Amino acid sequence: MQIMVLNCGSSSLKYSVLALPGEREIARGEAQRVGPRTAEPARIVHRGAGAERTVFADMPDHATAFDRIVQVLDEDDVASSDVIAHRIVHGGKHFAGSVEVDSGVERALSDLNDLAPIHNPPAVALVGACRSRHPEVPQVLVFDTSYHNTIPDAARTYALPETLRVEHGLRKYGFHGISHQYVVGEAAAVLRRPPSDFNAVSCHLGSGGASLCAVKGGRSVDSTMGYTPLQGLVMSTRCGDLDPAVTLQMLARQEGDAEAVERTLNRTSGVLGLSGASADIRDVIAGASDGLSGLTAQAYLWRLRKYLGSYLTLVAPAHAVVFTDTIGETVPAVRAAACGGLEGFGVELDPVANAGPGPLPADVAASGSRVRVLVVATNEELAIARDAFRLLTSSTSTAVEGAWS
Amino acid sequence: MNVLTLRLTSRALCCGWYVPELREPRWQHTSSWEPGAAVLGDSVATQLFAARRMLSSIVSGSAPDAIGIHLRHGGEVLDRPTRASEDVLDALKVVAAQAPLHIPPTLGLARIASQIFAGSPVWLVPETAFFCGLPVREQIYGLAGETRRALGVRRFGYHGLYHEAACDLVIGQRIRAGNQGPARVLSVCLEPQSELAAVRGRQPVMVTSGATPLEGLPGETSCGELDPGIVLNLARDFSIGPEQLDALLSRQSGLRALAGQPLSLGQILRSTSRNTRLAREVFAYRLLAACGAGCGALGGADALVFSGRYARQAEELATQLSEALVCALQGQTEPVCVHYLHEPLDRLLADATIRAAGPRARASAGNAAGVDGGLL
Repeated sequence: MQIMVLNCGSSSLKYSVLALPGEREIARGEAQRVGPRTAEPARIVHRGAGAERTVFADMPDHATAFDRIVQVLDEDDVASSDVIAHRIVHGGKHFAGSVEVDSGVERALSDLNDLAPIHNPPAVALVGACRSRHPEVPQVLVFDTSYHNTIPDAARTYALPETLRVEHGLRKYGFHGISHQYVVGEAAAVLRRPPSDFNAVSCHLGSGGASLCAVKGGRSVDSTMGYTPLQGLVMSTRCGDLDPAVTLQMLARQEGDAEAVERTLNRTSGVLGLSGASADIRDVIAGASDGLSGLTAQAYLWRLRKYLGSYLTLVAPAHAVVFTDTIGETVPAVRAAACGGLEGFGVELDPVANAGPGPLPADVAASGSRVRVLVVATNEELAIARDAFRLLTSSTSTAVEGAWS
Repeated sequence: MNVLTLRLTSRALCCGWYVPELREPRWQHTSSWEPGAAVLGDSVATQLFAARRMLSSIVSGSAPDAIGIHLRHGGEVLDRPTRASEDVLDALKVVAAQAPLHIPPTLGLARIASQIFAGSPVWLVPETAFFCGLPVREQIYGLAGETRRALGVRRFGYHGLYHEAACDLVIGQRIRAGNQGPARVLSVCLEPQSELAAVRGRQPVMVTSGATPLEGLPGETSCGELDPGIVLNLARDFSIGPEQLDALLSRQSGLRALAGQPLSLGQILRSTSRNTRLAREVFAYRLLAACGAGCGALGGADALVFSGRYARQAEELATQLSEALVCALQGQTEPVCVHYLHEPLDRLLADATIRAAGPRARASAGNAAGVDGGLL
């Protein structure tokens, strides 16, 4: 079964064409810097037919990025896929697991756009575009929220009246679950620990969104993201944690226009808002000697370190800290700053290994470090393809895995 | 020196008379005033006249050597206890918008006290002063510069008197034990709106509260940390205006919402009822998560101190937290010592006033300078 996986990040569109069950990769790539202009031009980094090439193209939105990717695959003579599988950021309270798309699913999915206004709308639009172009090809949705269904009540409950919590589903959902689950599994394997006896803090630091996941016994027990992907760390264009009274102040200044405040908090805040120059923390760190860039880097890294301390405490005794995704895998300075000063937790980096970890997965902790520090390349696409394959080949497919209401 | 303390809550004026030879107040009195009033009426002046008569009857002809007035929010205008002059009171009007229910009445109280106790210096003692020097990386939100400036928001802590006294308690005990190094203190203030501060020596580096006390740990009626997306969803989907939302999040949420009934934090901590279990567990969980964040900020912890009116109900919490910290701090050989500060707020207010106004006033009172050690 050939499966094309589409993974909408807030500023990227990753794709992968895989043959299952052998997990042979036919092609893969990433459209980078999709959306607001950054210091460098948008591009597709494509790997197929044994070679890598970079195609520069304007990609103001994810739909355009998809069209460009299809062109690149056609140029490589990649055959049409049997299944298209989508990563969907927010499954809300309707989708507890992966599901095959039909009209009802598509309608229910559209209702969740407000919960993840950066991610769900382009992914939903992409699902619609794929269905209209290839109505005969089954499509599967795999949700980032599913892994976090194990977060206990004490962690997922907001201190709000019961009617809002229960009837309206206002609770922590958590995101990046596909990636967290994948890298935690890889890390447990590297350290030769059974997943059920593996405690870790998984740091998914993307070029757009970023979140930490507290993992105890292989299960998610907390996530820095909440009801929406807006909560938590300082991100590329998202503010992360914010005093509710400040959100109210902003609403009052906008005369109650929630859409306007949402745009500000989701699209022009975070690293972009603080630096006033770039939405990419790599650009900021490269110029961190400058006052505004320095301030931005400090705010980004400080919140990361505080959450790391918090989650190391929640999962104690921790076995590992796992870094992944674009920033987590490729920016040693971020790993060093996040782990710096955490010797009290038993976390000690090897500065040489951290600076050049080599092939991934890699252990970049000092030899005496009680808590291992791993850099693991995430592979959300493979995780999504596995889930889609499992769903479509299961005899009770939608009834079991695709439960939604 | 003799100190008269004056503290306005949302419902009462609390007066205390402190003399050098006693830790307990020589006299204290609490009287109600109109809740939520933006300005003080004649009743408070009447109460202060009564207080003056009362003091005269206790010690003939006595006048306070200093009057210490509790100020919930001094913003960046007051980074230390400050003598209340007209210039200072005018300058604080700028901060009033950030705490409209607290600052205007307190400024009114300062003016009335200055008139009634003419000749006694009036000092404003801000809870926020301890946090003026928070490192910028801790103060700042992930918002664009123009948004931050337009809103005038930065993070503060709102229980500075308790935290400062908690740190002094730890420092004193360490000095007696021969340990001169700056302690890494997790200071937990258990009040209706509880707060955790992580402090190195006497310099706070992290605090759970935010631009207002609404952020952070869940309060008795306030929500604490909340995804900003929830606030926006409530505004959009339920068509609730900012003022109604403020009432919902400030007065109808928190532990009361989790327990389904209006209970104090002390009652929640003492309770074993199933009905209050969710409130107890959420509070304990958030506090543990905050302790971990504080350890991340400090690189570990030497002491865990409980203060505030519910500190006496903290024993079970203290056991849970210290066990969890021992398990988490795998690379730390020294234990995390647990302390309790049982001094009431008015005693701490009197102490702060004496430190500011007395003959041996601390030259470096206040934490004015926020110094960031770089993370990169």
